[in-house]
Amino acid sequence: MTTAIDGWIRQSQEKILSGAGVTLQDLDALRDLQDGEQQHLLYIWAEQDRIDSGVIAWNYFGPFDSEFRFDPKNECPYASAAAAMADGWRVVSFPGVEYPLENAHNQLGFEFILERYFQPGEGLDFTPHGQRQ
Amino acid sequence: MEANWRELKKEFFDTGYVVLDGWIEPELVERTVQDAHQYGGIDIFECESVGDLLCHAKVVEFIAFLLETPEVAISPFRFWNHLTQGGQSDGGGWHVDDTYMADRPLTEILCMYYPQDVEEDMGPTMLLPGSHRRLYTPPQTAKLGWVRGQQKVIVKAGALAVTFPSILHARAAHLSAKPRSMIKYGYEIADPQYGYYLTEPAYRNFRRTELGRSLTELAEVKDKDDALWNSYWKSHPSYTFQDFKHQIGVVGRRLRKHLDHEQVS
Repeated sequence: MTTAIDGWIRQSQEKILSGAGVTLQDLDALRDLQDGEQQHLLYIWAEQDRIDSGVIAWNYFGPFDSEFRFDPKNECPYASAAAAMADGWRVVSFPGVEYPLENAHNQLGFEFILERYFQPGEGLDFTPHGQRQ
Repeated sequence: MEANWRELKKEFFDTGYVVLDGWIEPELVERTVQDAHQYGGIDIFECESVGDLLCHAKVVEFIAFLLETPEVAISPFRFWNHLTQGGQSDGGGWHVDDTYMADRPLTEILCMYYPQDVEEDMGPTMLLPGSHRRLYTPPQTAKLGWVRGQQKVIVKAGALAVTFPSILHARAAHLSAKPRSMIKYGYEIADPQYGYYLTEPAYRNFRRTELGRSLTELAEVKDKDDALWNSYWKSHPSYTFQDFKHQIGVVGRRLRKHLDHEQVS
Protein backbone atom coordinates (compact mmCIF):
# COMPACT_ATOMS: atom_id res chain seq x y z
CA MET A 1 0.00 0.00 0.00
CA THR A 2 1.56 3.31 -1.09
CA THR A 3 0.90 6.40 1.03
CA ALA A 4 1.32 10.10 0.37
CA ILE A 5 4.51 10.09 2.43
CA ASP A 6 5.83 7.19 0.34
CA GLY A 7 5.15 9.38 -2.69
CA TRP A 8 6.98 12.34 -1.13
CA ILE A 9 10.01 10.16 -0.43
CA ARG A 10 10.03 8.81 -3.98
CA GLN A 11 9.82 12.31 -5.46
CA SER A 12 12.55 13.54 -3.15
CA GLN A 13 14.81 10.67 -4.15
CA GLU A 14 14.27 11.57 -7.79
CA LYS A 15 15.07 15.23 -7.04
CA ILE A 16 18.25 14.29 -5.23
CA LEU A 17 19.31 11.92 -7.98
CA SER A 18 18.66 14.61 -10.60
CA GLY A 19 20.76 17.07 -8.64
CA ALA A 20 17.90 19.43 -7.85
CA GLY A 21 17.85 18.45 -4.19
CA VAL A 22 15.15 18.81 -1.58
CA THR A 23 13.96 22.34 -0.79
CA LEU A 24 12.62 23.95 2.36
CA GLN A 25 9.21 23.98 0.69
CA ASP A 26 9.49 20.22 0.20
CA LEU A 27 10.17 19.79 3.92
CA ASP A 28 7.18 22.00 4.75
CA ALA A 29 5.09 19.79 2.52
CA LEU A 30 6.36 16.73 4.39
CA ARG A 31 5.46 18.35 7.74
CA ASP A 32 1.96 19.07 6.44
CA LEU A 33 1.62 15.45 5.44
CA GLN A 34 2.73 14.30 8.89
CA ASP A 35 0.42 16.75 10.65
CA GLY A 36 -2.53 15.51 8.63
CA GLU A 37 -2.00 11.87 9.46
CA GLN A 38 -4.76 9.96 11.17
CA GLN A 39 -4.52 6.80 13.19
CA HIS A 40 -6.16 3.64 11.88
CA LEU A 41 -6.58 0.52 14.00
CA LEU A 42 -6.58 -3.02 12.72
CA TYR A 43 -7.88 -5.72 15.06
CA ILE A 44 -6.76 -9.26 14.34
CA TRP A 45 -7.86 -12.21 16.42
CA ALA A 46 -5.37 -14.97 15.75
CA GLU A 47 -5.39 -18.71 16.34
CA GLN A 48 -2.43 -18.48 18.72
CA ASP A 49 -0.61 -15.71 20.55
CA ARG A 50 2.01 -15.62 17.81
CA ILE A 51 2.18 -12.92 15.19
CA ASP A 52 2.46 -15.48 12.40
CA SER A 53 -0.61 -17.51 13.29
CA GLY A 54 -3.74 -17.48 11.16
CA VAL A 55 -6.61 -15.01 11.38
CA ILE A 56 -9.84 -16.09 13.09
CA ALA A 57 -11.54 -12.70 13.03
CA TRP A 58 -10.77 -9.09 12.16
CA ASN A 59 -12.12 -5.58 12.16
CA TYR A 60 -10.89 -2.19 11.04
CA PHE A 61 -11.45 1.17 12.74
CA GLY A 62 -10.40 4.71 11.95
CA PRO A 63 -11.75 8.17 11.20
CA PHE A 64 -14.48 6.65 9.08
CA ASP A 65 -17.70 4.79 9.70
CA SER A 66 -16.37 1.27 10.19
CA GLU A 67 -19.69 -0.46 10.51
CA PHE A 68 -21.91 1.81 8.48
CA ARG A 69 -23.83 -1.26 7.41
CA PHE A 70 -23.04 -4.16 9.65
CA ASP A 71 -22.65 -7.01 7.23
CA PRO A 72 -19.31 -8.72 7.81
CA LYS A 73 -18.45 -10.51 4.60
CA ASN A 74 -14.89 -9.55 3.71
CA GLU A 75 -12.04 -11.66 4.95
CA CYS A 76 -8.97 -9.99 6.39
CA PRO A 77 -6.57 -8.69 3.71
CA TYR A 78 -3.68 -10.09 5.75
CA ALA A 79 -3.08 -13.75 6.53
CA SER A 80 -1.61 -12.92 9.94
CA ALA A 81 -0.50 -10.05 12.16
CA ALA A 82 3.00 -10.59 10.77
CA ALA A 83 1.75 -10.02 7.22
CA ALA A 84 0.14 -6.76 8.34
CA MET A 85 3.40 -5.74 10.02
CA ALA A 86 5.23 -6.39 6.77
CA ASP A 87 2.87 -3.90 5.14
CA GLY A 88 3.69 -1.18 7.65
CA TRP A 89 1.29 -1.83 10.52
CA ARG A 90 2.70 -1.72 14.05
CA VAL A 91 1.44 -3.83 16.92
CA VAL A 92 0.29 -1.60 19.77
CA SER A 93 -1.43 -4.24 21.90
CA PHE A 94 -0.55 -7.88 22.32
CA PRO A 95 -2.94 -10.58 23.51
CA GLY A 96 -3.33 -10.77 27.26
CA VAL A 97 -2.69 -14.01 29.07
CA GLU A 98 -5.93 -15.91 29.07
CA TYR A 99 -6.66 -18.22 31.92
CA PRO A 100 -7.54 -21.64 30.53
CA LEU A 101 -11.14 -22.22 31.51
CA GLU A 102 -12.41 -25.74 31.32
CA ASN A 103 -14.75 -26.28 28.42
CA ALA A 104 -14.32 -22.72 27.21
CA HIS A 105 -11.91 -22.67 24.31
CA ASN A 106 -10.44 -19.69 22.54
CA GLN A 107 -13.14 -19.34 19.94
CA LEU A 108 -12.41 -15.67 19.41
CA GLY A 109 -8.68 -16.11 19.27
CA PHE A 110 -5.88 -13.92 20.54
CA GLU A 111 -6.37 -10.20 20.06
CA PHE A 112 -3.67 -8.16 18.34
CA ILE A 113 -4.29 -4.46 17.85
CA LEU A 114 -2.20 -2.81 15.15
CA GLU A 115 -1.96 0.82 14.18
CA ARG A 116 -0.88 2.70 11.14
CA TYR A 117 -1.06 6.38 10.24
CA PHE A 118 -2.58 7.55 6.98
CA GLN A 119 -3.47 10.74 5.22
CA PRO A 120 -7.21 11.46 5.06
CA GLY A 121 -8.74 9.13 2.52
CA GLU A 122 -5.89 6.66 2.64
CA GLY A 123 -5.89 3.24 4.27
CA LEU A 124 -7.32 -0.16 3.51
CA ASP A 125 -9.91 -0.02 0.76
CA PHE A 126 -12.43 -2.07 2.64
CA THR A 127 -13.65 -3.02 6.09
CA PRO A 128 -15.21 -6.39 6.92
CA HIS A 129 -18.52 -4.84 5.91
CA GLY A 130 -17.76 -3.40 2.50
CA GLN A 131 -15.94 -0.51 0.86
CA ARG A 132 -14.58 2.03 3.32
CA GLN A 133 -16.95 5.03 3.59
CA MET B 1 -39.51 -39.00 19.12
CA GLU B 2 -38.79 -39.00 15.40
CA ALA B 3 -35.97 -40.88 13.76
CA ASN B 4 -33.64 -37.93 13.14
CA TRP B 5 -34.00 -36.24 16.52
CA ARG B 6 -30.84 -37.75 17.91
CA GLU B 7 -28.90 -36.36 14.95
CA LEU B 8 -30.53 -32.97 15.44
CA LYS B 9 -29.65 -33.06 19.12
CA LYS B 10 -26.01 -33.83 18.32
CA GLU B 11 -25.95 -30.97 15.83
CA PHE B 12 -27.51 -28.69 18.43
CA PHE B 13 -24.93 -29.50 21.09
CA ASP B 14 -21.99 -29.47 18.67
CA THR B 15 -22.77 -26.23 16.86
CA GLY B 16 -24.98 -24.45 19.39
CA TYR B 17 -28.03 -24.38 17.15
CA VAL B 18 -30.22 -26.28 14.76
CA VAL B 19 -32.65 -24.87 12.19
CA LEU B 20 -36.01 -26.64 11.97
CA ASP B 21 -37.47 -26.26 8.48
CA GLY B 22 -41.00 -27.29 7.65
CA TRP B 23 -42.04 -28.04 11.22
CA ILE B 24 -44.62 -25.25 11.40
CA GLU B 25 -47.75 -25.85 9.36
CA PRO B 26 -48.32 -23.43 6.41
CA GLU B 27 -51.60 -22.22 7.88
CA LEU B 28 -49.86 -21.19 11.12
CA VAL B 29 -46.96 -19.65 9.22
CA GLU B 30 -49.44 -17.52 7.28
CA ARG B 31 -51.15 -16.35 10.47
CA THR B 32 -47.88 -15.55 12.20
CA VAL B 33 -46.57 -13.48 9.31
CA GLN B 34 -49.74 -11.39 9.25
CA ASP B 35 -49.33 -10.56 12.93
CA ALA B 36 -45.54 -10.36 12.96
CA HIS B 37 -45.47 -7.62 10.34
CA GLN B 38 -48.00 -5.62 12.31
CA TYR B 39 -47.03 -5.98 15.97
CA GLY B 40 -43.42 -5.38 16.96
CA GLY B 41 -41.73 -5.91 20.29
CA ILE B 42 -43.42 -7.68 23.16
CA ASP B 43 -46.96 -7.05 21.83
CA ILE B 44 -46.63 -9.98 19.46
CA PHE B 45 -47.03 -12.39 22.37
CA GLU B 46 -50.60 -11.23 22.81
CA CYS B 47 -51.45 -12.49 19.30
CA GLU B 48 -53.21 -15.84 19.03
CA SER B 49 -50.97 -16.97 16.19
CA VAL B 50 -47.84 -16.58 18.30
CA GLY B 51 -49.57 -18.24 21.24
CA ASP B 52 -50.14 -21.21 18.94
CA LEU B 53 -46.52 -21.05 17.80
CA LEU B 54 -45.07 -21.21 21.30
CA CYS B 55 -47.45 -24.02 22.19
CA HIS B 56 -46.65 -26.06 19.07
CA ALA B 57 -46.81 -29.62 20.36
CA LYS B 58 -44.07 -31.11 18.19
CA VAL B 59 -41.65 -28.26 18.86
CA VAL B 60 -42.30 -28.39 22.60
CA GLU B 61 -41.71 -32.16 22.54
CA PHE B 62 -38.40 -31.57 20.76
CA ILE B 63 -37.41 -28.90 23.28
CA ALA B 64 -38.18 -31.33 26.10
CA PHE B 65 -35.98 -33.88 24.32
CA LEU B 66 -33.11 -31.38 24.15
CA LEU B 67 -33.49 -30.28 27.76
CA GLU B 68 -33.99 -33.88 28.86
CA THR B 69 -37.00 -33.06 31.00
CA PRO B 70 -40.76 -33.53 30.74
CA GLU B 71 -41.21 -30.26 32.64
CA VAL B 72 -40.85 -27.46 30.12
CA ALA B 73 -41.88 -23.87 30.74
CA ILE B 74 -42.11 -20.92 28.41
CA SER B 75 -39.27 -18.62 29.40
CA PRO B 76 -39.64 -14.88 28.92
CA PHE B 77 -36.01 -14.83 27.94
CA ARG B 78 -35.66 -12.08 25.34
CA PHE B 79 -39.33 -12.13 24.31
CA TRP B 80 -39.35 -9.77 21.36
CA ASN B 81 -40.45 -9.42 17.76
CA HIS B 82 -37.45 -7.93 15.95
CA LEU B 83 -39.30 -6.27 13.09
CA THR B 84 -37.42 -4.11 10.60
CA GLN B 85 -39.00 -2.52 7.57
CA GLY B 86 -35.87 -2.65 5.48
CA GLY B 87 -33.83 -0.18 3.51
CA GLN B 88 -32.71 1.66 6.61
CA SER B 89 -31.53 -0.81 9.20
CA ASP B 90 -27.80 -1.01 9.75
CA GLY B 91 -27.87 -4.33 11.54
CA GLY B 92 -26.38 -5.04 14.92
CA GLY B 93 -23.05 -6.22 16.17
CA TRP B 94 -21.96 -9.55 17.53
CA HIS B 95 -23.23 -10.37 21.01
CA VAL B 96 -24.52 -13.14 23.23
CA ASP B 97 -27.84 -12.97 25.03
CA ASP B 98 -26.69 -14.97 28.00
CA THR B 99 -23.30 -16.11 29.13
CA TYR B 100 -22.73 -19.83 29.11
CA MET B 101 -22.15 -21.24 32.53
CA ALA B 102 -19.47 -23.79 31.93
CA ASP B 103 -20.09 -25.56 35.19
CA ARG B 104 -23.84 -25.90 34.77
CA PRO B 105 -26.04 -28.09 32.59
CA LEU B 106 -28.16 -26.48 29.92
CA THR B 107 -31.46 -25.30 31.37
CA GLU B 108 -32.66 -22.82 28.76
CA ILE B 109 -33.16 -22.71 25.03
CA LEU B 110 -33.47 -19.64 22.86
CA CYS B 111 -35.66 -19.73 19.75
CA MET B 112 -35.57 -17.47 16.71
CA TYR B 113 -38.61 -17.82 14.44
CA TYR B 114 -38.81 -16.37 10.93
CA PRO B 115 -42.42 -15.95 9.74
CA GLN B 116 -41.34 -14.88 6.23
CA ASP B 117 -38.54 -15.87 3.91
CA VAL B 118 -35.23 -14.30 4.90
CA GLU B 119 -32.98 -13.51 1.97
CA GLU B 120 -29.34 -12.39 1.97
CA ASP B 121 -30.23 -8.68 1.96
CA MET B 122 -33.09 -8.87 4.47
CA GLY B 123 -31.02 -8.56 7.61
CA PRO B 124 -30.44 -12.24 8.27
CA THR B 125 -29.36 -13.37 11.70
CA MET B 126 -25.70 -14.33 11.80
CA LEU B 127 -24.57 -17.18 14.02
CA LEU B 128 -21.13 -18.50 14.86
CA PRO B 129 -21.30 -22.29 15.08
CA GLY B 130 -19.50 -23.67 18.10
CA SER B 131 -19.42 -20.34 19.91
CA HIS B 132 -21.91 -21.35 22.58
CA ARG B 133 -19.44 -22.82 25.04
CA ARG B 134 -17.30 -19.81 25.67
CA LEU B 135 -17.49 -17.03 28.23
CA TYR B 136 -17.73 -13.77 26.34
CA THR B 137 -17.92 -10.21 27.48
CA PRO B 138 -19.61 -7.48 25.49
CA PRO B 139 -16.33 -5.51 25.19
CA GLN B 140 -14.83 -8.56 23.48
CA THR B 141 -17.66 -9.26 21.10
CA ALA B 142 -18.61 -5.68 20.26
CA LYS B 143 -15.38 -5.13 18.34
CA LEU B 144 -15.72 -8.18 16.12
CA GLY B 145 -16.29 -7.82 12.40
CA TRP B 146 -15.77 -10.78 10.10
CA VAL B 147 -15.38 -14.07 11.97
CA ARG B 148 -14.20 -17.31 10.39
CA GLY B 149 -17.03 -19.84 10.16
CA GLN B 150 -19.83 -17.29 10.56
CA GLN B 151 -23.17 -18.33 9.09
CA LYS B 152 -26.10 -16.30 7.81
CA VAL B 153 -29.49 -17.76 8.63
CA ILE B 154 -31.11 -17.57 5.19
CA VAL B 155 -34.33 -19.51 5.45
CA LYS B 156 -37.83 -20.07 4.15
CA ALA B 157 -40.91 -18.76 5.97
CA GLY B 158 -41.70 -20.79 9.06
CA ALA B 159 -38.12 -21.77 9.88
CA LEU B 160 -37.25 -21.97 13.55
CA ALA B 161 -33.68 -21.69 14.79
CA VAL B 162 -33.33 -23.43 18.14
CA THR B 163 -30.17 -22.19 19.86
CA PHE B 164 -28.13 -22.11 23.03
CA PRO B 165 -28.79 -18.73 24.73
CA SER B 166 -25.03 -18.34 24.79
CA ILE B 167 -24.47 -18.53 21.04
CA LEU B 168 -22.64 -15.60 19.47
CA HIS B 169 -24.96 -13.88 17.02
CA ALA B 170 -25.59 -10.65 15.14
CA ARG B 171 -27.97 -9.15 12.62
CA ALA B 172 -26.68 -8.18 9.22
CA ALA B 173 -27.78 -4.97 7.53
CA HIS B 174 -31.30 -4.97 6.11
CA LEU B 175 -31.07 -3.40 2.67
CA SER B 176 -34.07 -4.95 0.97
CA ALA B 177 -37.41 -3.11 1.02
CA LYS B 178 -39.14 -6.29 2.22
CA PRO B 179 -40.04 -6.28 5.93
CA ARG B 180 -38.32 -8.84 8.10
CA SER B 181 -39.50 -10.21 11.41
CA MET B 182 -37.63 -12.48 13.76
CA ILE B 183 -39.61 -13.50 16.81
CA LYS B 184 -37.34 -14.35 19.68
CA TYR B 185 -38.53 -16.39 22.65
CA GLY B 186 -37.42 -19.19 24.89
CA TYR B 187 -38.11 -22.30 26.88
CA GLU B 188 -36.56 -23.55 30.07
CA ILE B 189 -36.74 -26.41 32.51
CA ALA B 190 -39.69 -25.56 34.73
CA ASP B 191 -38.49 -24.69 38.21
CA PRO B 192 -40.80 -23.25 40.89
CA GLN B 193 -38.06 -20.88 42.08
CA TYR B 194 -37.95 -19.25 38.63
CA GLY B 195 -41.30 -17.65 37.95
CA TYR B 196 -41.79 -14.94 35.37
CA TYR B 197 -44.21 -12.26 34.27
CA LEU B 198 -46.63 -11.99 31.36
CA THR B 199 -49.12 -9.31 30.48
CA GLU B 200 -52.74 -10.24 31.08
CA PRO B 201 -53.54 -10.63 27.34
CA ALA B 202 -50.42 -12.75 26.78
CA TYR B 203 -51.23 -14.88 29.82
CA ARG B 204 -54.77 -15.53 28.54
CA ASN B 205 -53.39 -16.14 25.06
CA PHE B 206 -51.03 -18.87 26.18
CA ARG B 207 -53.50 -20.56 28.48
CA ARG B 208 -56.11 -21.37 25.84
CA THR B 209 -54.88 -24.95 25.58
CA GLU B 210 -53.84 -27.67 27.99
CA LEU B 211 -50.26 -27.52 26.72
CA GLY B 212 -50.24 -23.74 27.05
CA ARG B 213 -51.47 -23.96 30.64
CA SER B 214 -48.71 -26.44 31.39
CA LEU B 215 -46.04 -24.24 29.80
CA THR B 216 -47.17 -21.16 31.76
CA GLU B 217 -47.84 -22.80 35.10
CA LEU B 218 -45.22 -20.61 36.80
CA ALA B 219 -46.21 -17.34 35.09
CA GLU B 220 -47.59 -14.33 36.93
CA VAL B 221 -49.62 -11.50 35.43
CA LYS B 222 -47.91 -8.11 35.57
CA ASP B 223 -48.11 -4.91 33.60
CA LYS B 224 -46.15 -4.46 30.40
CA ASP B 225 -43.20 -2.67 32.01
CA ASP B 226 -42.64 -5.49 34.46
CA ALA B 227 -43.19 -8.15 31.81
CA LEU B 228 -40.71 -6.44 29.56
CA TRP B 229 -37.96 -5.33 31.91
CA ASN B 230 -38.22 -7.38 35.06
CA SER B 231 -39.60 -10.73 34.10
CA TYR B 232 -36.36 -12.53 33.51
CA TRP B 233 -33.98 -10.47 35.58
CA LYS B 234 -35.94 -10.54 38.81
CA SER B 235 -36.52 -14.25 38.60
CA HIS B 236 -33.12 -15.42 37.44
CA PRO B 237 -30.71 -13.30 39.48
CA SER B 238 -27.83 -15.72 39.27
CA TYR B 239 -27.94 -16.44 35.57
CA THR B 240 -28.15 -13.20 33.70
CA PHE B 241 -26.40 -11.12 31.14
CA GLN B 242 -26.60 -8.10 33.41
CA ASP B 243 -24.11 -9.40 35.94
CA PHE B 244 -22.07 -11.46 33.53
CA LYS B 245 -18.79 -10.12 34.88
CA HIS B 246 -19.65 -11.42 38.28
CA GLN B 247 -20.68 -14.73 36.75
CA ILE B 248 -17.46 -15.08 34.82
CA GLY B 249 -15.57 -14.40 38.01
CA VAL B 250 -17.52 -17.02 39.91
CA VAL B 251 -17.19 -19.64 37.20
CA GLY B 252 -13.56 -18.79 36.62
CA ARG B 253 -12.72 -19.26 40.29
CA ARG B 254 -14.55 -22.58 40.37
CA LEU B 255 -12.80 -23.83 37.29
CA ARG B 256 -9.39 -22.67 38.40
CA LYS B 257 -9.66 -25.12 41.26
CA HIS B 258 -9.14 -27.81 38.65
CA LEU B 259 -5.74 -26.45 37.71
CA ASP B 260 -2.92 -28.37 39.34
CA HIS B 261 -0.92 -25.41 40.51
CA GLU B 262 -3.88 -23.86 42.27
CA GLN B 263 -5.08 -26.94 44.05
CA VAL B 264 -4.90 -26.77 47.80
CA SER B 265 -2.37 -29.28 49.02
